Amino acid sequence: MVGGRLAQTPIGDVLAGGVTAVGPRTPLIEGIRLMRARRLAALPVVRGDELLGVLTEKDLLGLLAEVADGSS
Amino acid sequence: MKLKTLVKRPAITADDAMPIRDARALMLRHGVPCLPVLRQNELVGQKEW
Repeated sequence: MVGGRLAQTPIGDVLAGGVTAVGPRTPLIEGIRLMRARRLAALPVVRGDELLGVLTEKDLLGLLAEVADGSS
Repeated sequence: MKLKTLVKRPAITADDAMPIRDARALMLRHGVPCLPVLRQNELVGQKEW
């Protein structure tokens, strides 16, 4: 449980350097490879400075389920 | 398939001034594995737990 002074620290102060993100036209397979290589559970998708959304492992599992069902 | 067909909007995000405690609570409340952190609407990082 996070408590005390650390809990009140702005989250911006504890970010590791660099942002891992991709553009909306990035092929899905490249996004997956990047997530695996960087061990990310989620991958932000940006257009310039604008955050469009986040691709998560849950999203990928949902897609896999659709493919397995033959509905995608 | 392009990523834009899969990403969900709006993403749950935090301002970089948000206390860690509140950011963590936000992630738990929404059940998200990753929290993009914005400074003046610009993505400056992400936090995973």
